[in-house]
Amino acid sequence: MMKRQLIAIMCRDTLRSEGLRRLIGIISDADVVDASATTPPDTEPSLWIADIEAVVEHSAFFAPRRKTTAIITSAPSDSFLTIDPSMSADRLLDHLQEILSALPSPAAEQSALSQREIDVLRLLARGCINKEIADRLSISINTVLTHRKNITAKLGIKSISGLGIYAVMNGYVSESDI
Amino acid sequence: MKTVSPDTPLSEVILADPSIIPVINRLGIALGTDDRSVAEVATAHRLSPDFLITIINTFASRDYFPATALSRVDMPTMLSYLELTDRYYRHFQIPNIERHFNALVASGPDNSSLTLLRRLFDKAKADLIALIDSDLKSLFPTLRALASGSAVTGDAVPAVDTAASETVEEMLADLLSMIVRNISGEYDPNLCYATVVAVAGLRTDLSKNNRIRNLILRPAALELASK
Repeated sequence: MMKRQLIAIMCRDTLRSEGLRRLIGIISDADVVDASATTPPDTEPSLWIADIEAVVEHSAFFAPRRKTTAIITSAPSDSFLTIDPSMSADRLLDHLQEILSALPSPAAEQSALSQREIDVLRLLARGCINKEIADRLSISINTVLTHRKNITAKLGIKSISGLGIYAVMNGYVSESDI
Repeated sequence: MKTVSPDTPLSEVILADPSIIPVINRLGIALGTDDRSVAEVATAHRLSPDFLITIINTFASRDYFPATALSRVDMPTMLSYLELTDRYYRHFQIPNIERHFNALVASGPDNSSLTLLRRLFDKAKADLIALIDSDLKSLFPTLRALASGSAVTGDAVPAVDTAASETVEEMLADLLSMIVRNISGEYDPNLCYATVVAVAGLRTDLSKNNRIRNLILRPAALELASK
């Protein structure tokens, strides 16, 4: 069965939140949930829609999700997707449609890293060896090795240097960390 | 590619796998080989035909294992070839990639992904240069001394380290994968293509040269050390 897309809205303004939910319902059959950075959904959403205050307050949470987060703002952004709240309803529908159609397909999502794999990748990029990663994440070395194997299979990157650069490119660590 | 014999025309070998061109260039053989056989070209360049055939077969054919040819390859000739290979990497292939990468990075001055990819290449380059230095300053002179029967200072014969070279090859493979899968932002696509071709050329060469180090140099060095 085809998995439906999950969209998480993190917006303090109830009117905006409800409006977005209804607009998305017109153009998509995606599941839409309200969420927060402290209690994210169990499954990583295909798209986060957040107000600017939430993104600023939880910048570390959103940094690795730049490609799948749309900020509600009229200011342009080089890093994030944006949704201008002052757009007309028709234009807003078109824009939401553009954003949703550009999201990764369910097949691509299967190749996305899990949260645990991202944790391992972050530590690898910072130069930790398997034992340190196991200790810090309270998992066995065998589990670390399994995560490393899955990371390499999903990303097509084997070397530690390559994984470090990938981690920076995707906002998982900063350039000074590697 | 099928296994090359002494009578195989060198032109046939090159047309079947043009990546052999840098290898014969390193041995002083230029294109314009006419229909001369591998053995004829080797003799004309004062090379052992057995040596040239073994190098070509090891380089070009994944299934070729030079067990029988091994005893016929003399160490000084092998070391000269590997020195030429190292110098070719240092003086031609690495600067060639740098030229392409510099132009690519300049084509997207605000594109941080290009700078990061360049940083991965710089790491691979630094490791490869360190390996070349180790070959030229330590490993090759020691093996040459052993082969000539001279005394070697120090107790241990240096090991032929293929892991370091394979790590460089792995980084270049990662670099190619990341350029193809993860590059973003503004850049000149033609310069990107040229960079990919240059990096892929070095990676292929290193991969095949690692076969020569693994299958010919390492066992020959072990044999020398055991004498």
